[in-house]
Amino acid sequence: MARFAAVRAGSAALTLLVMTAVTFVVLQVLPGNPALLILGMGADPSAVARVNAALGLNQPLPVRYGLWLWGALHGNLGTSLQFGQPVTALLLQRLPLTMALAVLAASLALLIALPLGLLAAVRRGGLIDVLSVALAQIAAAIPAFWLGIIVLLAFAVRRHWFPAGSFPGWSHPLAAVAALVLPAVALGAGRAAVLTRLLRQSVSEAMRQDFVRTARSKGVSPRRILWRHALRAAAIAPLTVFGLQVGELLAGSIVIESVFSLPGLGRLVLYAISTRDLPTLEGCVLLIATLVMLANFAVDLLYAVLDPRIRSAG
Amino acid sequence: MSRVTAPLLIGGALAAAVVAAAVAGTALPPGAALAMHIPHRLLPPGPGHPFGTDQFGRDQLTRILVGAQASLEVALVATAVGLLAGVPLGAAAAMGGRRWDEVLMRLTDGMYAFPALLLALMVVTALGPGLAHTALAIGIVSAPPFARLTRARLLELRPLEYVEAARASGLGPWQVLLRHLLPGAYGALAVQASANMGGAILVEAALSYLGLGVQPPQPSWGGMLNDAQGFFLTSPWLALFPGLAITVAVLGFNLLGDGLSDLLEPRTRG
Repeated sequence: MARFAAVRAGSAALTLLVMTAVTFVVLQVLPGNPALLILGMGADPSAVARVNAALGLNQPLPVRYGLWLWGALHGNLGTSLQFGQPVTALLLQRLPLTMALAVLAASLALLIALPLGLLAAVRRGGLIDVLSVALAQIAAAIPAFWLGIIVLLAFAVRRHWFPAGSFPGWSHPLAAVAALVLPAVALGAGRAAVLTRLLRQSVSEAMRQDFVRTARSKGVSPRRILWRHALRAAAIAPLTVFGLQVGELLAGSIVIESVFSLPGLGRLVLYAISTRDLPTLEGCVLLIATLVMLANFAVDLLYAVLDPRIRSAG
Repeated sequence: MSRVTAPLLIGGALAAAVVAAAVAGTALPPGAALAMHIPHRLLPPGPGHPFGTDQFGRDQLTRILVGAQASLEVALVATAVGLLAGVPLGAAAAMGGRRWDEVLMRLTDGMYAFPALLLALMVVTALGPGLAHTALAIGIVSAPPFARLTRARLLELRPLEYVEAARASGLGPWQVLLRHLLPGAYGALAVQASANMGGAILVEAALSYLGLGVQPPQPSWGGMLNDAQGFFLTSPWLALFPGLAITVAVLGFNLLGDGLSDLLEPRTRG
């Protein structure tokens, strides 16, 4: 098990390294010179050269990447060109909201998908099955930001059940969570749809396996078969997707935070893009990539817990 | 036993409707989608304007029809780019020996680990906004799944007897690949291509909504939702129809993908 974990951790670290390299290369071809943006368009060329040197932009790409990576390993992601603060401080300030939003959306998705997917799988071909399949197809096709606009108009503007697009801050925990409910619904609906479909499919596949038949012929109760045998065998595929969804939730927050004007990581990404604030943007992407890798690593470990064959395979 | 299933029929019909809308959009007089009519601004849906008008008096139905073109163009180009980049990458990984496989799959995994929207957002930031760049960005994002699929399918087929026989009959590696291995992946690729169309339409809509995708005044469904943002309170139809259009298009291609999967790849389905 320890060997398995070590191999997986190494693999995750390597993937993360590739992700940072991709990020760096893509963003370095960004149009617009940050020095000109800082100094204004008609700036004196020697001043531009000085700012470029101060930002390290006069060095070749691999050197810049190496320096950035070295800094990142030491918790230094540079200074934001727009805010004049360390990027790490900005990220720490923005992260809690986005994490809370993602956790809330993921919980909502699970809360919907688990019962719906299981019921559909157990009563395959029944009314709940047909309805849940149709609903999941439609929900997976609805753009999250549009759903956000619709629920915002319906439940915050027409009926004042929830606050409309403002965040009261964490000093009012209840109000803060209330402000995140509608965004979480918008963000979670699509994930719920995908998870429902997958759960339905993998549970009904597991229910057809030999070991389920054996358990049934031994007289194990249907409920125990579902919970103890089928669900455990069926959890792998939905878990994989749940791991991937962490990334989708974080990326989705970019759009959803914009719909609901929430001051989280997603808004910071957009702001950094529009102001060409490269260090901030790179920091945001690194943080999101790290969270995605951590989630996938956790999912890998869970596999091994669920399925002993995976543990020995390494 | 018919393998033509309800998803195939419904998905096919919806996708055909989107294509028909885009074609109808091209038949409109040029500039129809941009024609402003200030006296007719913010009209609710009614006889003259079935989907109402926006804050410039532009007919929403016309803009949705023309917007279908943008969505389809982006989705088609993105899927083509994904196929053209992904299939050779996957084939090279499967056929090129262990070292190539290791390097290419590491790279693919690194890109695949990015959430699609985030990577597309970064690429489009680097290239600049606009329809062509949006399509290219989504195409780059689409490539890793095609590469993984191609690789997996080729590795699965390579040890099979008919491939062995082709090799034994003296065909070179390229001929075996092109004539005997890749055709075995066509079905799976078609399924993925259809699903990718749906995904591409969603990402394009999100990018255009953020103002980074298709640029105004060219109509796009995401851009329409961005444009009308300030008028949703008083004119909710402006929020309704573009979103419905996106949903119908994505639903159509997703269902079509499922239906194609039943039709072409029956053994992989439960």
